[in-house]
Amino acid sequence: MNKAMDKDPSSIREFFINKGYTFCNPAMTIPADIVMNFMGEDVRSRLLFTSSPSGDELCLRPDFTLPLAISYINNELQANKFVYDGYAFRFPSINEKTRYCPEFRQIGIENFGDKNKINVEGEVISQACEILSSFYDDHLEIKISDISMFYQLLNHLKIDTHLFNRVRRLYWRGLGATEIKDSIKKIINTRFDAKPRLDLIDEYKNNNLSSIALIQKLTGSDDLSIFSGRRPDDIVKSYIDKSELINGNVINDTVIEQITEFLSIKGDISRVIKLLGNFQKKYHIDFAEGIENLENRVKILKKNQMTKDMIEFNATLSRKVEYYTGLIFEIRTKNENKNEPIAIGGRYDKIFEELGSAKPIPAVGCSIYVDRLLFDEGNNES
Amino acid sequence: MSHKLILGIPNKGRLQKQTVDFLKENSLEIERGRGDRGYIGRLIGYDNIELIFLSPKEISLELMKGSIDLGVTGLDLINEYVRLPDMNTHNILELGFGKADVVVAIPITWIDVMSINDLEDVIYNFRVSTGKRLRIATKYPNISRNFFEKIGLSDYLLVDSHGATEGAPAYGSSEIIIDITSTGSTLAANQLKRIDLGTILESQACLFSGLNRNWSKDKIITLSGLLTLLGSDKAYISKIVSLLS
Repeated sequence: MNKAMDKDPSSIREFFINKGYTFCNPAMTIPADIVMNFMGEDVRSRLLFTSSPSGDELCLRPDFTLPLAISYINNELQANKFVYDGYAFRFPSINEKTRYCPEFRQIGIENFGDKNKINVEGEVISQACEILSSFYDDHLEIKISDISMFYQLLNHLKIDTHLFNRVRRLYWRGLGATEIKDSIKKIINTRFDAKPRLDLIDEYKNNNLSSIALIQKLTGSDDLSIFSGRRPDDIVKSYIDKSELINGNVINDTVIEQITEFLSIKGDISRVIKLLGNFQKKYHIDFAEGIENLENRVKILKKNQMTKDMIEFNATLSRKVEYYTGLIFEIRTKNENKNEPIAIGGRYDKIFEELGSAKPIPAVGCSIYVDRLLFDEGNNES
Repeated sequence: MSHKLILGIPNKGRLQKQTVDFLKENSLEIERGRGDRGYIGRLIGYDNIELIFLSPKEISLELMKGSIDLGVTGLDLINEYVRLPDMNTHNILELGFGKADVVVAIPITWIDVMSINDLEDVIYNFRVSTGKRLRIATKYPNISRNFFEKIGLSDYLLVDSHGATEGAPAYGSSEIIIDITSTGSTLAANQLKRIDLGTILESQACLFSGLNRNWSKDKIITLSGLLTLLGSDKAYISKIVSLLS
């Protein structure tokens, strides 16, 4: 049952202000290149671009985290905990049922700089659940994941950069374990399969051949003028990387098996902790920190009376933005028809360094989709 | 009037000549009203068929709208211009000419790209290093979008191109292209090459029927006769008849 229709969503903002968050309204436009670097490809394909009179490409904010982080790093903000309430802009994806226009209201919080990581994470989820539960009679469903464990696994497997990046991209696209497994198999079966000219590569490595000369020899053409924005050195480096891969580092089945098995881990927390324990023994990887973090987060949620809400772990939980580094979570109502989460969030500790900060600044946040909160599935269908 | 079958024929260029030749081979002679510039005509000896001369793109659109019964046009144009092509048109006959592939083509200098999978790496690295999306020039935006959606890639930017698409990378308006090619010689002349898994559509000229059209009994009988002349067997014709009835 949805009580949300009768409730003013602005109460969410007030709730967070009372919890000590400072209200702020960050910039509406951000330099396009920054957005392109941080958002996932799904979001990138749905951005709204504009340009300044001097020709700089700008982008209407697709979320609040980026403009807030930019203001924060420029010392324009005097606090560390923020609540925002306003419109963000993305064209709706095909599956979105709750909106047709590119703007959507988000209310959310950010906590920058708190080193007490697990406590802050537990606090953010607890507070989001507390205010959201005032909109619903039913309990909420909380799904959590920890992307740092997945990255830890990929590093542990020592796969090459190309495959590493591809697997990450598949994950960012929000695919399930089986889909990712099939895609990896496909990638491996259609790997760079030319008969590489190892003789030319040797010549190149011994500085007897320039990049251009190598490309000329391989294409059999002296008249080459089109590189489409890529440097010949980069093209050759990529060619050599791929060529050497064929002869060396063959991806074996246990790599695929481990990735698939890890991504299949889901369910209630005690079961997942068992599964993670078995996994680390079986494949000799040390997940102790990840497991402990998971247990501690859940402890905080239980302490904060979240016991009635269903808490689940799902290793394939992904956010389609590429800046997450640890915890990822989603909050849903129990309405089975309602596919889209009403709140999402997580940790993004690298965002400040990538924006140019000299020192790392931990960051956690949560966004509530107001349109989804107010969207009454039952009314809509009748 | 409505009992006549309206057949769209390409109004100029190679596709028109090949269509006329194809009909001739099957003993069907076209008479174009008021010479080569007339837009209507007839098949000599077959009064139940009216010909209308349109560009291949218009034939695709008119088939979808339901303003003509049949049309000769390229599979590529049906896929590009008709929304839900299978719901709105039916490919009755592959005519065996106008064969060409819609393909992804990249600079030959990209020796590290052999297949779409390698291209995916480049698209990713291009964005990371330049902060911009890789641009693809094409006159087939819909076919291109569907193709990339199927393989799950969305990190590209389509650039509209109307003619001379193969030149786009040379003058810097795009990095790669999606275009139609038959022999590949135009691609090669512009320092471009095809890649594995990069063939999006194998196109050729086909005879299509519009499914948003009222198919009267008379018209279906006329169509059956036409298909017999074009060499279709009875089983196939009855299949088409039941589809359209």
